[in-house]
Amino acid sequence: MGYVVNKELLATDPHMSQSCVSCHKGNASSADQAKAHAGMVKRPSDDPMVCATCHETEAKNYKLSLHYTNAGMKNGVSPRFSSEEKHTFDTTVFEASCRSCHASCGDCHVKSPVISGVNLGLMDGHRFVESDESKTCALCHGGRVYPEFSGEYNGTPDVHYRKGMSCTDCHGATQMHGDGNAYAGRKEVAAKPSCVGCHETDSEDQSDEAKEAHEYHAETVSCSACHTGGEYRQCSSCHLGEGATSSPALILGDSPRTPGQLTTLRLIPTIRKTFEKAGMEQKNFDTLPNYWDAVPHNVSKRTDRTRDCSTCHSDNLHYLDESMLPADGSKKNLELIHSGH
Amino acid sequence: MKKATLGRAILLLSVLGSASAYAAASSCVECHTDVSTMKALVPPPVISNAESGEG
Repeated sequence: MGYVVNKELLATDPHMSQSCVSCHKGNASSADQAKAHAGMVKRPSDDPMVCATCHETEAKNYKLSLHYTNAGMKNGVSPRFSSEEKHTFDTTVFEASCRSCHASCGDCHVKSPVISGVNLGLMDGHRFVESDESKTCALCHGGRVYPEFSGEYNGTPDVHYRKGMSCTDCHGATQMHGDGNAYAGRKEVAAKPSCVGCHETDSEDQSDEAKEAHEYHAETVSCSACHTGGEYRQCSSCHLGEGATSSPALILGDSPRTPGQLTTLRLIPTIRKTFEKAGMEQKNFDTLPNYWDAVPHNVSKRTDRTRDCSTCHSDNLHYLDESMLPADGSKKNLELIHSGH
Repeated sequence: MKKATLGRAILLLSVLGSASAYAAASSCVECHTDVSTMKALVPPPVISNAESGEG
């Protein structure tokens, strides 16, 4: 059961050499449930400095990391707001909504994060685990990325998953814990994974066709544009407190953040009315498009695009066009329609 | 006599002290390591659609 502490750990796990109350507070001298739990802290590592006694560098870095600050969420939507709206967002909506999802140290190392009201509890009897992606990453990232990775969404698992790799094989400790820099978003993170960090584009085991394709597209097409295995989840029409709706699609278009690159696009759930309940109409909504360049996590070595040039170059499949754009969407969307194929 | 009384009092206090320290250390553990107690105390989760997984 996810709430039961493994008694053996009390003698073997160094973290347990301290008393329960040294981290969780409360009143250990009372046998009465209410009195014992008065003042108790459920997630002590919500302040990472609780772990700093032994893990000083990780704790300090983590306070600046994106999993803790959620700065990527804030900076991803802020350009849509007027200065007044931005103040409202920063002081009320962000803390109450987006930032409530931030991960504490314990959310990854002790206890699964609570998602949709479901609390799986302790991962392994309060053992401090190095990683357990199916009980951590998979929950917070269970809407899009993890189901694509495992094949739960749309059938075909990511090739890395099929080879037995886990999230942390690519997203390493430096990326997860942070490197001491307060990044504005994940695209900026120095330690973020890169396909070419492991895969040479001209290695000996590649066919001549593959080498030629890699060389030809190197500067203008992202890896994911060709190696995304199939349709991935597009979430749209998000309303504050109500969630979004989703549908599958594989969309190719010009990257909004890497000029001149054709890539896979993913719908941003934010629409004009997303923050209506908070009295914000997003006066600068058209500053950003309704799509971000994204790396879907259903990577495949062979796809309809790697097998046949005509998929993109004459059949024109998967490209974003005007008929696909969301109704009442951002004017910026038109800039993502690719015209160079 | 006075010395003996004082000695007993110190012994009693030290025993009580260590007993209360043991109680302080074990009262959390008593419930939180026992499956049947925890099953009785922790209600099943209420599932809502308000906060769905993202990312």
